[in-house]
Amino acid sequence: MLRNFLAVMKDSFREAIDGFIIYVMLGLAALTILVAASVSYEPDSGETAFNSMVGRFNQAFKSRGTDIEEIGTRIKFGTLVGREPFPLSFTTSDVQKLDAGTGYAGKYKMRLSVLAAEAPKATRRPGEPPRTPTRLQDGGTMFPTLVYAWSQSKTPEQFFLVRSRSGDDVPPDQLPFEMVPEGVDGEQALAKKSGDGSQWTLVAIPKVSPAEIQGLSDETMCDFIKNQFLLHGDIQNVKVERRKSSNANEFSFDVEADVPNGAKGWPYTTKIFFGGLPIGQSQPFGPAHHFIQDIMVNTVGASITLLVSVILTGFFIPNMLRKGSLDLLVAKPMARWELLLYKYIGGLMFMFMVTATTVGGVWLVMAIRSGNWNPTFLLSIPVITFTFAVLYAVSTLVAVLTRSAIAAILITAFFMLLMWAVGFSKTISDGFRSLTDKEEDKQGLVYTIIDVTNAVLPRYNDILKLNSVTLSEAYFTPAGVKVIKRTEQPSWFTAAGVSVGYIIILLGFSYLRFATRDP
Amino acid sequence: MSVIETKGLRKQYGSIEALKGVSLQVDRGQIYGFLGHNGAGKSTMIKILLGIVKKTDGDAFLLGSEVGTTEVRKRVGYLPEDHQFPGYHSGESLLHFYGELYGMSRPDRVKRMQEALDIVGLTKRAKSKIKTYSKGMKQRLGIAQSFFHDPEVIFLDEPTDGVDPAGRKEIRDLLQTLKSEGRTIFVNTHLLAEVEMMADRVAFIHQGELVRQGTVAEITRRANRFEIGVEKGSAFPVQDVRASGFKVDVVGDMVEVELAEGQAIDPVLELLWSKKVKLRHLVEQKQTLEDVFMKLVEGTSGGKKAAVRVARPLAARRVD
Repeated sequence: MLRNFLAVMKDSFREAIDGFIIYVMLGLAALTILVAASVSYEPDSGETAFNSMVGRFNQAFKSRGTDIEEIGTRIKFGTLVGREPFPLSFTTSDVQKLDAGTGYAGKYKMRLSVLAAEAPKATRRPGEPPRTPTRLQDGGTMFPTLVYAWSQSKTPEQFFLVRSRSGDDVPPDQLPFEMVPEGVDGEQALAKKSGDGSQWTLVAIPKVSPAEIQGLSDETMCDFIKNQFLLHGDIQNVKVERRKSSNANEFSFDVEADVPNGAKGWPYTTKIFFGGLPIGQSQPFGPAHHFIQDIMVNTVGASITLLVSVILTGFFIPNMLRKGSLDLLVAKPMARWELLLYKYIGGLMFMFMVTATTVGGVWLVMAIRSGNWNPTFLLSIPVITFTFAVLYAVSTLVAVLTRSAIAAILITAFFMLLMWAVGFSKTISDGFRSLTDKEEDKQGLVYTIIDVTNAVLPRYNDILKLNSVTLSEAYFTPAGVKVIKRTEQPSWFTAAGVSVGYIIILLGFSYLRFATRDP
Repeated sequence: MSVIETKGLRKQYGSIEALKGVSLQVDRGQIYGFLGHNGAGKSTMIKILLGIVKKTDGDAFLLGSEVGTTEVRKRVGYLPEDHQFPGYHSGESLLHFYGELYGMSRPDRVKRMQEALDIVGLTKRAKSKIKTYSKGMKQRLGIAQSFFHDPEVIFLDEPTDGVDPAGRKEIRDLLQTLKSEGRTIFVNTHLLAEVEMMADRVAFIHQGELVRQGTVAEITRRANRFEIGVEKGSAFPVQDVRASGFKVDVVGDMVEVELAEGQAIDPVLELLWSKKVKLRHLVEQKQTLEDVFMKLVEGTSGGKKAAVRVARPLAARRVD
């Protein structure tokens, strides 16, 4: 049996390398590897790096940072709800490196100051107007409010109605607003206020009483800072002490941080084409890696590879089933199930070969260039091959039924497009549903159709999405991972289970047809 | 002992009955010619024996076992009609692939492959891609792959298709060599002259029915017709022989005497003796397999000779 398997594998390999397409694909793989090799990573200096890192500290999570739910101002416009990071600005100054270790790793000392900001600094796109004016609350109580909400699993909310900007030149800090009285439903107030045609936004911020703010200890504030270094910087060993000040509303801290090598939050200046072109702003290593590996290779590269492989391998089984060709094979001492299964695996081997070359190559050059040898990206090799296994099972069934390579290719490509469209629709519909807090807005015929279709089809998108999340977990800071996991995630078990079920059913039907029909 | 045996073998393709209860036996070490028109059921017969298609009814045994088992197929070689080898293989790599499926070790494959390719004259092109081969070369490769793994029984479906006359002679010689090694060869063909030159036994199949089988000598013997030649200067007593009740035809220097049912040639010989005519040539006449086949076909088709003869060219007939 093993001998037959190896013989058919070798035969499939010969078939695959016979045409020019494989060489085009390997050429594309080489080009991708070259582009990945051209990416350089230059860690930022301590001062730049810490300022960039703490700039994200206004993004905090409930239950002392263990919750996935973010603390921020909750806004509602139309039927959609969203959340903005807290309007605070964290900055560092006097950053000193205490030891002369190699690279950026080592002990640092700095001063960290918290200021009320008009809008979140690091989380707003340039030019985007703030929707949460600081004026809603006294700037001095903003930081304790955030720390208090951080220390709690649930905090009541205070509602405001803020006049939406409508293209006029009213500065954001002068937009009219009013507080929704206690006991009045925020949404009803919004509906009432919008009744005259003006546009208002409902804003909710954590409601923390002056007594609760007074009761907040310096130690809790320091714990918050430490936790933020862990979540946004991947830096575990941090000492924080609040600086004495005559002003109770001034929040400034002395910080000592021991930065390990490979801290996920340390920002880098990333350039492509051997330093020729900077990629965006200075940012942590993870997003740059993630962009190249997940977007360039796993999404764009994999889609092209999958489509080309569907075309190339679409000929394998119809060629085998040709009159005069099949007789030669089925007369050999090998069971028909073996022949069909091994030929199917032969197609997968082709995909595995191309994927392993591309992913393995990209991983290797990026690891050499960046010094990060995390092997998670290599998971993409079986994942992309498995995704192709679903498509190739469809191709096999069509090939056995029609003996036509064209039919196999067209129907499989259509199936691939269908699975992608359903998966994409599911992602979009889940996104919309996460933006509304009304149960009735989360239901509807379109949502039901998308959910049911997604449930009964192989989980093409889910598998790729899970792979993307796994990659994020490997490279992103804990805070970054929380953001990604905020939307509902499919499970590996369900996604792989449904897909494996499909493969078994499709191959089962293929075998039944192949075994019972006379050539 | 029979290496191939079928009893009442039937095969139905939808409403078409391809085999109608065929029973035959093939003994070890024979070249067995299975003859018939295109579409008579020859290929179906082979495919059932190899387990490629399933029989509808009846029994079929190959090498003492039910047909279609993996073990039996290991001991069998096969060249299908209109075969298509994968163009991405070379002759050598194809034989390696098939050899692996037959469970041959690499040294064994290399040794047998060289011998086989040498026999069929493909050694020089062994490493060339099959897609560059001519039809005749593909046919020779097909024959090589049918015997290179040392099978006991070899099924050849139209083995001389696309092969030039010299190549056909080589194939006939090769089959004789394989036979001399104790192998059984089952040849499907509609080229009756080919089979006549090489087969030990033949069977005729027509419209799914086995209409005649036997040795070539038995089948081609033309009973009750003798060719007689006499010494130069002597005259054959034609009138006397005819007067004795025999039908006589003079064909050149020879005389052909046809015996009626129940007649023997002895009275003619006695008459020549009595007339002191010296006999120099006496041969019971033979007929070709084609003659026999056409007679059989006409007989089983109820005299619709034309219908049978034009069965293939119909597709090319002009419709005016």
